Amino acid sequence: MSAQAPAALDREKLFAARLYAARVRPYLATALFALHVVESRRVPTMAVDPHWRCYVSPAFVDRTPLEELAGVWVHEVSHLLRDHHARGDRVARQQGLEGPAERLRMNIAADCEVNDDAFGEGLDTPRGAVLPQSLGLPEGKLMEDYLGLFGIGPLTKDFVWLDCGSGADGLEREWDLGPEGAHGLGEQERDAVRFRVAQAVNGRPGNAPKSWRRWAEEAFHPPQKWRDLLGAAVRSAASGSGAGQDYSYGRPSRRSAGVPGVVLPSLRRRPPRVCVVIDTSGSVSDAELGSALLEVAAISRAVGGRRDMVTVVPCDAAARIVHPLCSAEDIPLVGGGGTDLRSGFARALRTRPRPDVVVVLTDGQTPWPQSRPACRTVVGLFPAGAGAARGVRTIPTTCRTHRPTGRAWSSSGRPAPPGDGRGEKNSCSVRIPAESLCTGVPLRRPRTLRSPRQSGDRGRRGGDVSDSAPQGQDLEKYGYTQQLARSLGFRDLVVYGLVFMVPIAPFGIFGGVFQGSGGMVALAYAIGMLAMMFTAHSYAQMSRAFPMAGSVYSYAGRGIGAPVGFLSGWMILLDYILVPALLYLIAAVAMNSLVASVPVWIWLIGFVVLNTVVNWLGIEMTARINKIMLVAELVVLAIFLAFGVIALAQGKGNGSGFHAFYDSGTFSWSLIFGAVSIAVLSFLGFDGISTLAEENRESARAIGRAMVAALLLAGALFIVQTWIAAMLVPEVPTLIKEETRTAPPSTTPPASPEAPGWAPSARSPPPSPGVSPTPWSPRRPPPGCSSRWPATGSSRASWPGSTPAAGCPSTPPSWWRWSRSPSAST
Amino acid sequence: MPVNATFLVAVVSLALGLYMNSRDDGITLLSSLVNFGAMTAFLVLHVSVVVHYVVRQGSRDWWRHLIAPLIGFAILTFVVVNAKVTAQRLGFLWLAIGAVLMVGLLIAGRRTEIPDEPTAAEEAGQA
Repeated sequence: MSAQAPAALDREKLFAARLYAARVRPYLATALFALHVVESRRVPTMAVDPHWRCYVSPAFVDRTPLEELAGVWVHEVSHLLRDHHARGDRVARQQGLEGPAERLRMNIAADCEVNDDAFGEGLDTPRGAVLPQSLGLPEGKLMEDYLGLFGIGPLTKDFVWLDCGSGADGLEREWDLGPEGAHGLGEQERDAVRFRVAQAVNGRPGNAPKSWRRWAEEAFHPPQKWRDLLGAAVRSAASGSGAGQDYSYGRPSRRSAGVPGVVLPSLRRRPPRVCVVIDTSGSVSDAELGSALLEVAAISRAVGGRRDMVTVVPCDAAARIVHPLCSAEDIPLVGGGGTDLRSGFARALRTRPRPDVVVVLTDGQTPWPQSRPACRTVVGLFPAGAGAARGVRTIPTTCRTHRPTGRAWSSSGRPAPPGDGRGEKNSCSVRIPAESLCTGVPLRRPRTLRSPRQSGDRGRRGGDVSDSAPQGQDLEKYGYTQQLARSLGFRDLVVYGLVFMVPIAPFGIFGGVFQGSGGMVALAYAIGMLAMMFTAHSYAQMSRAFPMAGSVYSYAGRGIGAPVGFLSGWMILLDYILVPALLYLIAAVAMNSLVASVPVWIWLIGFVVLNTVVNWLGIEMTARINKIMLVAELVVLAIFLAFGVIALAQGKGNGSGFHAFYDSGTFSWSLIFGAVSIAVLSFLGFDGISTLAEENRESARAIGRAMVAALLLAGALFIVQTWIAAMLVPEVPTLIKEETRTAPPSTTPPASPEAPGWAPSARSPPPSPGVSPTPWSPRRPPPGCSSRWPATGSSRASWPGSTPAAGCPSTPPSWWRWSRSPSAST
Repeated sequence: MPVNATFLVAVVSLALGLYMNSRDDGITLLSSLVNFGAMTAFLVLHVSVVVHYVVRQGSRDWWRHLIAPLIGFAILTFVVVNAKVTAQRLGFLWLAIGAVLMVGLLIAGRRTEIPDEPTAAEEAGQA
């Protein structure tokens, strides 16, 4: 090891090292011997350029032991095989990395990718080699990953001399001979070398490390157009034997002639029905979904299907509605919660007529059904997080077909990972570049920059992006607009909260609360709102801790312990089980007071049967109906408030003023809290918000805010309406006194037929605006009634119609008495 | 679709509705029962915030993880305490049934463990 630079390059030693490297890494031999050695004194150690020339510093060869030199050989050749120069260029263009510092980072990152498994097993780690551990980085990542993980800093200061040449990062060096120089490999030659190496790796699979085997798997499977692959998968699934075929007597069988006297059915084929299950959970972007859906629609039409036979099932944690693709409206892809495709599968298979092919578009992060679906299934896997800001990465998408007869459904109940599908007869597995899926969003990088052959990535590859993408407006032709609210917006959440709570909920229980609180209804509602806001706060905290789940059961079970969770779930079950009964009863009583000749129990049975049948048949428009109902409820509320205020302005109130908030005569805490225990019924349902959008943690904050906002809004509405109603209650003292006489507060509920809904107040307006009482009064209940019943099964709040509460089931006259008395008195 | 559950709920609702219809205070009793169930569950929710964040994770965010849940807990306790006596009785009866059921399950070796996410998500979706 002389300090002096040697006169000439010690080629013997260098080639001996190469021979040694080829001996311990036989599969790299072709590549090692393809390198052309160029002596260069400007290179710090050894460097390569993209044309497979290896620049070697004579001093470096002189001072480095043979085994280490062999390691350097393998290292340099790995850069070239892994195509680091092209990948480096790509990353630099995408992320705007310029300058020597960034190139150094790139070189270090590439070294990390190469070195984490290059050495050992006969090769010594060269001194000064960059290892991921020395930078505190995890092993087994790609250059692109490493690039984002470290910056130039104290840890990298030892590597400033590092230079693996333009072959490692793509930037031309002054010593490079360039593409025109002697002994460079042309593109075809380079591909040939790669091909040989890949063959060698595959030929003796026991010797090569996993990363090389993955590389070899990728290296010579040129990327295919994902559209073609998806198309082939769908086509073969839709047109394979058995799909869409059924016996029919619509035409005689051609074999009838052979069996005279017997009518044989013929096997007819009908257009395939395709059901697309779309994973609407947070991680797939609209654009990807849109283009994939478009593709499926076009293909299924091409194989003889009709567009109206393509149905779409948006699915996150629960599958909701099956939409025909060509319906006039857009398909609302609501969702954004956790993913559970099992419900999507179940929903798809349950649609009648049954689909022949189920196409699932998902990011794959979902539980899969335990058993094989009973029809052909194509799963389009979107890369995780490709829709996010990291969309610049080249992550493969896999599309695989599954036929019912195949073994693709592995015993674990999940489709086997793409790599394992290779040997299976009935499944195909293909990879799709992520970025070519993004057609609706402006791509982050120019699409023509990559040639289809640049595929040095280890387990991931870049791909063909040349196929033409449909434009966004094409999607609309198919009745699909991209309106997937990825995470429901703040306003959506608040609206849902209001839907769940029902703005006119106090209508149903006003009488009970009024009596229970001794007239201080508004105070009871204010306290109820406060309590619910704290509860909402706790909900938000827990949904942040356990973002997947949305019920008290799981929060308490995970937060405290399983038995506590069980018990609290059991308690809230009381709520869930009794709410329908309560709603039926309120509805029946209200209807009975309308049509007195039909007794309550008949109404009750009628409602139960009607609702159950509707549920059973699957009225799946709950979401839409709920929104209409919300508007209707708000209209009813506005009408009520308007008439109430007019009546008050005309001095028709009872002059109680702020007694609805505080009445020194009757105030006591137990009285108020007793009333609150009834009043909170109106608020129940706000917790439904927490079940809506939990997946991404950012939205946990939004959920908390939305809950509080919805509660504030609903609470304000409740307080205002009960306040106005309280001021309009005629003969307050009588009402309260009667109640306290028949039943002391907090013991038994009012047993008197005078317990009114707010029939009195609802009826009081008519005289004031000059409408005759007769047409108005009897008509008043229907909007309320009809506004509620369709959603009874799912809604949580009470009957908003004007309801004579409690004890008047069999005494309809009392209702009429109440409704008439104010007009009579005025 | 949970057909069995749908029909079960229908039958239960019908029976309960008919019974409550025969009572004078049916609607109020039912609603306070509903509230009782929800309130007790919310009480546990507040406790679980404190247990999870303060006790287990040692959070120092006193307002969000201790004081706010405690205030909520206090208000709800007042509400539950002042609820109708009938509702309280029935509610605690229900709780007792649940406790017996759970003990039975534990003895029978069926765990009350929280299942994996999907089930919880399903439940949330249905709820």
